[in-house]
Amino acid sequence: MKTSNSKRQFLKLGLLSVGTFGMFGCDESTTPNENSSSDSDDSNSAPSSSDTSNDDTSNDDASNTSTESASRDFPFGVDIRKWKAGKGRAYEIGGQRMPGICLLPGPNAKKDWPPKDKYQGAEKIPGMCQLCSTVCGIIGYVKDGRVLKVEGNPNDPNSRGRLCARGQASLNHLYHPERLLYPMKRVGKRGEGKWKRISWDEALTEIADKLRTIREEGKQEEFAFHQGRQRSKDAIKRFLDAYGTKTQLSHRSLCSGNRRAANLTYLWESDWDLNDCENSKYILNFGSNAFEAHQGHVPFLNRIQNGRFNNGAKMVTFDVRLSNTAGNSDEWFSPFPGTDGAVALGMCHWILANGKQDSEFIERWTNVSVQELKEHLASYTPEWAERVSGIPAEAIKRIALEFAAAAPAATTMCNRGSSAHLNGFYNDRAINLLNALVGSVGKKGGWCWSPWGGLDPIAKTPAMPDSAKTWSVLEDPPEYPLANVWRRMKVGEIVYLYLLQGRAKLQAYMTYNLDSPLTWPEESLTQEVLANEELINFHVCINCFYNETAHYADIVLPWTTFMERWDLDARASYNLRPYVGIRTPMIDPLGESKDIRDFFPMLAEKIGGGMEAAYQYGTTEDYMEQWAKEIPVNEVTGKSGLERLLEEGAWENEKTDPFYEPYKTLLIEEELAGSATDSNGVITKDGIGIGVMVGGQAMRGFKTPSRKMEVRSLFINKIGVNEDCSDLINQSGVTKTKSRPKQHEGHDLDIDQMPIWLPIDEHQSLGQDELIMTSFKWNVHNHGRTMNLKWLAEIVHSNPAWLNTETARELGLKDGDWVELTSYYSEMLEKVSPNLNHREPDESGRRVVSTMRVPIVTMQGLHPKAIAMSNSCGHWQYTNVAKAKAVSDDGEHLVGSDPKRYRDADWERNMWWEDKSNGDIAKWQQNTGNGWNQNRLMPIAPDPITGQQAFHSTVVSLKKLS
Amino acid sequence: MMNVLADAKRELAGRAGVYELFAHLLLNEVDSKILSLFHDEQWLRCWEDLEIEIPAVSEAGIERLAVDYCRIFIGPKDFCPPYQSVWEDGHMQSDVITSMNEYVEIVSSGASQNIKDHAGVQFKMMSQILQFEAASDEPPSTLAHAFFVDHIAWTEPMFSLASTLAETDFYSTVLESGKEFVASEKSVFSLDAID
Repeated sequence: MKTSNSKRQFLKLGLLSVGTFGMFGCDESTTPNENSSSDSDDSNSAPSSSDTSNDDTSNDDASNTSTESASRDFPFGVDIRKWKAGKGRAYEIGGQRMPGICLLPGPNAKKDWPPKDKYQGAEKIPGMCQLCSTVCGIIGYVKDGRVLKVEGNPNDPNSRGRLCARGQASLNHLYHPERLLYPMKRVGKRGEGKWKRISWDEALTEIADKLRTIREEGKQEEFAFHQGRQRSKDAIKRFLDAYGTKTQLSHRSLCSGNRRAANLTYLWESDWDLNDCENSKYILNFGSNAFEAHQGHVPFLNRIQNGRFNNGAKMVTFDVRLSNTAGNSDEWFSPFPGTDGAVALGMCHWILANGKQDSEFIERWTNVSVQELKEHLASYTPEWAERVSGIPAEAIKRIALEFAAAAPAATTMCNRGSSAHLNGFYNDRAINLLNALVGSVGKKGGWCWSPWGGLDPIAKTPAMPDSAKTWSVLEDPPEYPLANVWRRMKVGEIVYLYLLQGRAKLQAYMTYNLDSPLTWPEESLTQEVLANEELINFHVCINCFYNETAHYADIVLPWTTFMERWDLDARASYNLRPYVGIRTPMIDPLGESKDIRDFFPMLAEKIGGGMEAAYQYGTTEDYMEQWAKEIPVNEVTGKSGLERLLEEGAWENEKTDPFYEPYKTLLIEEELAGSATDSNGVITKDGIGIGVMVGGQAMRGFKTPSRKMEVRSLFINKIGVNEDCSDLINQSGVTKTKSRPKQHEGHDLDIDQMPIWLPIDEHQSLGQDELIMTSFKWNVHNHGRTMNLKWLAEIVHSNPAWLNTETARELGLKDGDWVELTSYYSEMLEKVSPNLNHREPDESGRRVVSTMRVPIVTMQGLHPKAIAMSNSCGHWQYTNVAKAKAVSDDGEHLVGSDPKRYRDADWERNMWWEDKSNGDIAKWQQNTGNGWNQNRLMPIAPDPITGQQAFHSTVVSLKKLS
Repeated sequence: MMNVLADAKRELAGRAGVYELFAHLLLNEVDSKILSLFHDEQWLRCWEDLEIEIPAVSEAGIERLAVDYCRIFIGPKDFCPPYQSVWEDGHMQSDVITSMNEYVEIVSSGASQNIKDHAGVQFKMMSQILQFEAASDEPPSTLAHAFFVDHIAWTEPMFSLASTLAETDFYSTVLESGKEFVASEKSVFSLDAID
């Protein structure tokens, strides 16, 4: 560049350019004006004032005109009168601030406190968080088209205005400098990381062409939609049903399959127990970390603490690890991993042995007798439980009797700690039995549930298309008998393995808010399959950020955040009655990001073939209005329907009684008309169960085949061996339940009818250097979607392995030492589930999953035979915040974080955790870096009964690194 | 006197044109039409003066430029965000938007880009302001000066970074010239010490 001449050269260039690239009011991408480029005379002369036809004295109301009209009414779109009349004049005399000048904080001007008028005039817009699974109600403070702050919505009946750190970090999510804002298409090899921007029209046309071809071939099942956390169930179902594919894959089996299945065996009508802790006197927690994670998280935590501090409840936690929930309990016990069920059965035994059971409840409302239970539990003594779990028998006995004494205001609670094991289904069955024994089922302060897992049924979606009828081994793997009988829990962790094994083929794969390489077991296998264009022919990724899944996409579509889109949403409420919450666009979507509600109709239109018929409801807002139209009027404000939700954020029908003891509801004469009662007292109408005779009265009962709480489940036993269960299903009244399809034939499994406990083979003979790996979540992260948020990443960004102090001493390890972990496939699964075997054994005869080098921290808060690592860490994509990089890989720059180039005061002050060791473990400093992906070590390990991923059962060996 | 005035107007128009050119290049990939235009003789002379090589018009060349544009300004990672908020506050949509909202009341860009502090939008608005002043019979206002200070000056290091990220000679040199241009504009507004 010849600097001395540059000004003149720029002028020449400018005179050619002026007017060439579209005048104001035109899109900047408009085709250039060819005349201006070729007409050198014109380009060499300044535009004359006559070219600009407006007389700037002609419009006295100019200051009131909109932006659009301004572009028409003012020369070059410049309203100079407004400038001069207002800020311009003041600026000239230096009397007041100019636009922006004083408001720009910048690092040099930044104060500790925001300006006191920051929220003045801000509009409060309701929404619902989606940074974890709990979907708490939020309020956004919106001013000048920007969300300034997010807080909890006190109108939300479930979260009651509470909002955790994740929710507070919504602003990081919305305004992240590395958000995806434009559709992109892969250039070069998949996974190479080379992209170009394309228009939405180009993107949707290409996707539609592909999907249309598959559909016209009649192979709809070869299009899979794979979702991570999703809260737009209706929109996804509408699209997939209209298309005609049932290959909708999820992550539920990585989360809660065992717990759900265990609940379903007892209840059938709900897969989610809602422990009424607020009204409880005794809370027995098996491995739930509700204070930090859990699907109920903040709403649940709030009620647990209310129960403890307002109602005097005692809380006892059994957890391998001293979680923050365990640490805040009245007592904590650390059982051997995977033995929660044994402890529960030991307690059951002792309650019966001491006659502290609720015999009336058992005899009336379960399908077993006290005597049967005594016989079944005879061998599960507290002493046996002590041998299995390591928990002293005396403690088991004491707690069992305390629990029984507090009943019916006593409840168990559990989650992944007990259920994410190879024996997790039985663990949770055993835990639930405690509630049946003491008669706290459905009681105030007891073990409750509700049939409303989501929205109040008053909110009905506009007419949906018929359900798709296809079948795919990816969606319904026949090896897992309880995965899909009541609910579609699926078995997500086998998807990539089955593709690798050639058991299914995908012509098109659409991922949505999914980060499978990070959150799925066997990271390397996931990457291998995602990168393979033979196995996944075409991959469209819908996401807010470029994550490890997007890296392997062919087209990336920028998704709106939860503050830019619509949903009606609700969770199973701890108020035990349903509600309706709303997620609204607080602001216009940033850049070109779009929600599926907005582009699925466009895509359907392009695919054609009748798909467009599913989208005749008008705009997305029209759809929301129809969906919310039955929300009743608020007598005070006079508003109803969508208008009411937009003002209040949530609505709960307070006239609905909490779902206590629903089984005792008397059937009315009208219901009983034309019914029949069998010898077991089951009342049916037209062959469908409606109730049960108990004590001479016709009552609703439980929605199970026996219409009782099913301690003994004949159904699961028959389903396991592929027997037809139509009669049982009809008696339950839950007719959406299905016997297993013909594709499952030959895949039989013996499932015990009763709650039992099964030892995990490889846990019985651990070598001295072998431990059982457990994982956990922090209170500031979800599994794979929050480490990019700097407020949260600063709090937790790394995950050294936790090791018990005594174990470390025995292995010659101390705090800060590095170890090499080697993980192994389950020996038990090798026998039970040969479908999983895909690696050859090593020379020792064991199948190795992976190895990983990590530092350790030692503490007493962990079982001596366990090793714990949190998840959420170890991103290798997903923004530089998630990678804890102050300097990017090329050493040049970093979006939003490089103090030399960007003025990000937060980052400058606070990004202290970058790992500067450059891979040299001797130089590594504690609490630096972005940690390690624990799932690299995890094998694909579904519980053989339900398919729940056994995240906590993996055996690893340790080797000290020098 | 008349000549001096004409020269001044012409200079304003020329500067407006440069802003317009950069606005387009910041907001859009280079397509075949633009590239063909750049091969026009007069344009080529200007590029040569600035020592900017214009690639041949070919599908592969356009693709290469599109990929380069994407990795410079769009991402998906380790890119150069063309947003003033990011440069000044480390995140999108900072208080910069409040200021831009106030300017948009005065200068209507009509840009389809909905992120108001995108450098391309700001360059487009600056172009309009200068074109307005070139066409106006009134003495220049303080508008151009104020807007430059508030919403253009920040782009100098952005151009610098963008230029270093570029893998094609075209973007490397064009973006380097963007930096030079903003530097020269600082002189025009007597803001050499703005840093």
